[in-house]
Amino acid sequence: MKRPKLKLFKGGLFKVYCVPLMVIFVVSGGVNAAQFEFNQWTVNVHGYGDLEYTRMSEMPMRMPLIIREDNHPMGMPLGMHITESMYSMASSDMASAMLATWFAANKSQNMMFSGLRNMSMSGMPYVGDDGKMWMNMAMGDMAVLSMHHTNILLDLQKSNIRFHLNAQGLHVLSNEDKYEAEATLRDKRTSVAAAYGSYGYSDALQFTTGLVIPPFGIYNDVYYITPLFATVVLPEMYEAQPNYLRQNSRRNFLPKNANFMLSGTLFLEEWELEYAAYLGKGKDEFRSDEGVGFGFKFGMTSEEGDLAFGISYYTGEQEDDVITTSLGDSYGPLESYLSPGKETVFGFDIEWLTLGEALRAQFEYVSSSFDGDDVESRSSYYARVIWEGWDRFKPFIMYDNFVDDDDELFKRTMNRIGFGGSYRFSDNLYLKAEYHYHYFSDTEAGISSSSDPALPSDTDPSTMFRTSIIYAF
Amino acid sequence: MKNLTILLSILLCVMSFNGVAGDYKVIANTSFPSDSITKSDLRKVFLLKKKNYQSTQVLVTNLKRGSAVRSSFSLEVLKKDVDKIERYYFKRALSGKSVALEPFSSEADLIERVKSVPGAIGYVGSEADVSGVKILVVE
Repeated sequence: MKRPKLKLFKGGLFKVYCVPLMVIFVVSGGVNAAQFEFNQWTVNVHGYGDLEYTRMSEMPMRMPLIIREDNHPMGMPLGMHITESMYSMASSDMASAMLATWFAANKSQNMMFSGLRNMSMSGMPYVGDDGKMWMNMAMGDMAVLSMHHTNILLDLQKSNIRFHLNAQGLHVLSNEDKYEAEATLRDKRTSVAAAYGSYGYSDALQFTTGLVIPPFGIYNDVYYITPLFATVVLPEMYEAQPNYLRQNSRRNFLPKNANFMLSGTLFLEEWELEYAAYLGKGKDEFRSDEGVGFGFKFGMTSEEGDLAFGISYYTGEQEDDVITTSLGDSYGPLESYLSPGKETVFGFDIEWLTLGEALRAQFEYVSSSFDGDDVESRSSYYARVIWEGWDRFKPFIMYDNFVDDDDELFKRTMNRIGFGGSYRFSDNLYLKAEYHYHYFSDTEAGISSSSDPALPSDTDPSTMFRTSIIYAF
Repeated sequence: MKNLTILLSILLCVMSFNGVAGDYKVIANTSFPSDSITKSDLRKVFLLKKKNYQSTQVLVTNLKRGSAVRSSFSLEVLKKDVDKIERYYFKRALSGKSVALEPFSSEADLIERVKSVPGAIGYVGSEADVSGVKILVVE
């Protein structure tokens, strides 16, 4: 069992940017938002950060061994691309003999498995019922203490013109082993989460251009702004899925990148109709859309704000591409092979505030279809109830459901039950804590691993405890 | 005594529909395109949802937290206490949707701001000197 041992990641930008901010957020606790005027522009500076602790039980994993035909000089029916580090890692168990032969034959330096150094890997690769090669493995218990977000927001407004920037640092501090962090995508990163300019012609028509995270469902456009929601983690549909490591089907469920958007609000008799229609390259670290993707969201909110529902849609053409993501010095870039095809995502959401605004109930459903060869459809929904009747403490319970027909593990329907709450010490300081229980409902589908006790059972439930302290100003 | 309470309540309701609502009055820059505003529109404006009123861009001004006038306005028009509204503004700012103007600690400063910025709207105590700005009737 790993114990959290805080250490500072090295990195020039982090030292300069994130670490001082983290110190300001957590230690001083006395920072306030700044607002000042400069040459008729109103300038606002806000920020937030969260120190997060995660403890997870052993998670079952099923890793695909992907073949790329254009890289198979031996014309072998099965194979994989792998790094030398993977080669040495695998050499200790039974699979290595088989794998090593293939690797030597391939002589490929392309990497499919990155950062698995610390994961147990037992059992033989096998051909799944989808015709691909798979291996069962388990990601062991882990405890991670991490400064998850360190964000600074800058907002400039003059009349109906506005510029907005959200600069983000991820995992500034972490006790996690560097290789694990890279493998589980918790490596240190800085990025621009949002940067756009907007012009409001009227309430009904606003133009926005730049890097925009488009509205989809309840949380997509604010999924990275942790002070805005009561939970530490958002439902599965807001995460890149599946299987914790990138593979050919790993991609964000919902669009995370738009470049031009028309939006507005129409005030009807007793309702407000909000709309947003957007175009975007759709490219982010998990996907690379070809041409221009298109999406929209229509939302209706009652005048009193106690009932809201919306429909969302996105479609984009995925190009046959390799997305390269930097994983730091130890592994270099991680390449994710993406299949070409057109993806269409549809979503429905409803939110109800009742009992004198004490109880907030949410439901969302998202379904995506893909017409490419390698990736099939997937869907997810969740229901959540949050009690907001108390001044400082907001408890919640939730149920989350995720199915990915393309994934040997997730096609069994992953369920997640969670409960927890957030406590507000002040307007700037929050504590959140929650417990999640994951289990698979279809225990018979796919290939059972029960014949080999060395393998983790695919259907073993896993648990996760997460807590975070959030500072925002 | 009970009858007096009922009478006072009715009087308060009547006053609120005449713009000078209880402890406050709603004021706006003289360029504001109307002499009146519905309570519903006033709420949308102060919740930063309605940024334009009859094609004029609106600038919302608030008094600081702790002001009795603000408490009264907040509960009556926005239907939430000031703390909740402040958290609401904070969340709007973090989400990048809109940013509220820093609240004013004195009514005189607020009136000066409303006087000098076209489209500005605010509220002050019913006794405040509001010369140079328009008093809006809340319908």
